[in-house]
Parts: sequence; C-alpha cells; structure tokens
Amino acid sequence: MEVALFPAVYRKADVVSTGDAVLAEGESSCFFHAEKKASIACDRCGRFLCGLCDIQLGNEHICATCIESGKKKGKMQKLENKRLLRDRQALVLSIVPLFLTGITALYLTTRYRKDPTSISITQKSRWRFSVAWMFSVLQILIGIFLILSYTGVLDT
Amino acid sequence: MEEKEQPNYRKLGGGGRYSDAPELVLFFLFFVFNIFVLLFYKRRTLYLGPDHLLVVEGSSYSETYKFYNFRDIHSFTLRRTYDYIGWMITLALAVAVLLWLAITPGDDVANIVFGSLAGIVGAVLLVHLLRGRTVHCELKTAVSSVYLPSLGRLGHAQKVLSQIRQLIEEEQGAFDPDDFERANSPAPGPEPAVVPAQVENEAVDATPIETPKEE
Repeated sequence: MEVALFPAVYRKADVVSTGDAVLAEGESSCFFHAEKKASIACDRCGRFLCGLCDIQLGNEHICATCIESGKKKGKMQKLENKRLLRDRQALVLSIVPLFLTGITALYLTTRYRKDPTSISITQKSRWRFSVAWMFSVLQILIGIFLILSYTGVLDT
Repeated sequence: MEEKEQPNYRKLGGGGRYSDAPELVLFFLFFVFNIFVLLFYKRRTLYLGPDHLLVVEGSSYSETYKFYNFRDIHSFTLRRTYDYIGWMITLALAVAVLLWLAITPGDDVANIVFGSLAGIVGAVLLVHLLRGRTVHCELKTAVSSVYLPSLGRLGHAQKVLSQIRQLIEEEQGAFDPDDFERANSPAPGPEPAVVPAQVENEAVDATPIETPKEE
C-alpha cells in the first residue's frame, strides 16, 4: 500500500473570522456591515468585505451576492454539480428510427442548441447538435413521405 | 444561455468504468446478460483543472461533478488488489481450454473458430499483463473519500500521482513528517487549578442558610 500525504492532513482548518470592528474614521468598512472593517475585496464585483462576508471558492474570494447571482445565471462552474448532456440525448434520439424520436430530437437541438456540452470536453465542439439536427430532419421527412405514400396521397 | 467560464481540463487516467459488484462476478454475469452486463457499470473519470481536480460521474446523458481544490486534498492511497491475479488466472484458463478445443481432432471449421477465439483471448491476456498490477486508488479530504477507478493500474497511477503531487505541493507546500508527528501527538493540557487552602476551609466552615421559621 502506498500513501501520498499532504500538509492539509495536519493543518488546522481556517477559523472563520467574524470581522473586526472599524476603529478609526476613514478606514474602509464592509459593504454589507458598515460597522466592520473590510479585509478583502470581492474578486467578482470589487465590493469590500469583512471576514464574515468573505467566501472562498477555490482561489477566489467572493461575496454572497455574487455567489447567488452566479448560481442563478449558471455562470460559476464550481457551483454546478450536474449537467444534462442535451447534445448526446438529441443524437441518440435522432438515430433511433421512430417518427416521434425525430421530432423530439429536433426540439432538443433547437431549444438547447446553445446549452453547454460536457464539462470535460476541452474542445467546444457542437458537432453532435449539428448531426442530430440533420438526422432528425431526415427522419421527419422520411416519416412524412411514408405517411403520405401509405395514405395514397402521393399516388394521386 | 451564456457560455460559462470553461477552464481547460485534462483527462487523467482511463475511462474509469467501475461497478459496485466484483469484476469476476460481472465476468460470469456476462454469460447470463451478455452485452447488457455493461448496465452494471458506472463511469467515474478524473480531470485536472487549473487549481483543482474534477471527478466526473455519470451516464452518457448526464454528468455529476465533484471539485477537489488542491489545498483541500489530504492524501492519495494506492492499495494493490487481487483483480490482476484473478483476471490472469481466468483468462489463462480460458486460453488453455480454447487451445485444447482447437487442437482436438474433429471438425476443421470448429478448430479454426476455437483457435481464433484462443488468439483473441490470448491477446486480451497479454494486454492485461502489460498494463501492470491493479490498484484501488482513493483520494481523501477532511470530509470525504472518493474511489478513482480511472487510476486502476499501478504504473499509470504512480505516474499521474507524481504530476498531481507537484501541483498540490505548489499549493500546500511540502509534507513535513515532524509537523505531522507534532500535530498527532497529544497536546499538553492546562495544569490543574490549585485550590487555595483558605478557600477550602471557608467552604468547609460555611454554615447552611437557615430558612425562616413560621411563627
């Protein structure tokens, strides 16, 4: 058995500071707590933060407002813990030769075409969406053709 | 939807397929469920980000993410498993049986089929032997522990860990065994408080509070 240990094993966790009070006039204070001394600025919006308001996410110091808006807009990747891969769903549905799957695939490729794909894909390729769109249109056209020929509309 | 900030991730290790059931059990289940035995497998892949490791779990249609910042990683453990020997014996037996069937006099077509199968299984055995010993790799933080199936071979896991170790040490500094020893040794507690003799006497001599009697 091999073990690779790192200093975090024995280092004590950082004690969360509740923030020091503003002592002298002219000292910068926290944006959210006017009576507390600012210790750092938010890396996103630049607001001054006291020890209590400072949230460390990775190597960034962020305020609660930015975290909330980042999560709402889905712009902070580290807060994202699940992603549906619409491009793969659409591709599989477009290949399965059923009329309804083609329509569903076309809906997915249209509705979610700008959605991010897998987080791990380094190349920002959207080829699956394009291929799924082509196959779904083809599938729908073939479906329409089969329905028309079955009902005899094409014969007339 | 706006495009998210997407750091470049580099895949570390293999595909990372794993199952909660032992592999040999799955091997025998293959003869029952055939290709559908793949449904018993999950995927967990390790990626290297700028300041963290990313563990991606999921199926083909959805993914769940776990981020491990370099500064929060406590340790990696590599434990050798018996899967290597188990697979080696199983595959070698399969090759031996197929070869025996291939050289048994009889139908020529059957001999060719069994010979080809022996060749394929033999090639799988060779690849298995060349990839090296199997290991069970785990990443530990203060609050969690995650199994990394993508680092399932000793040589490859050691190579990847040496890369990660460098990055983590840049963030955390080098591991110092003395500090570790100090942190784990019991801290000297505060000295027991000495009760002054006078106070002790007072406590002994203290008269109980009398309750006023009703007249």
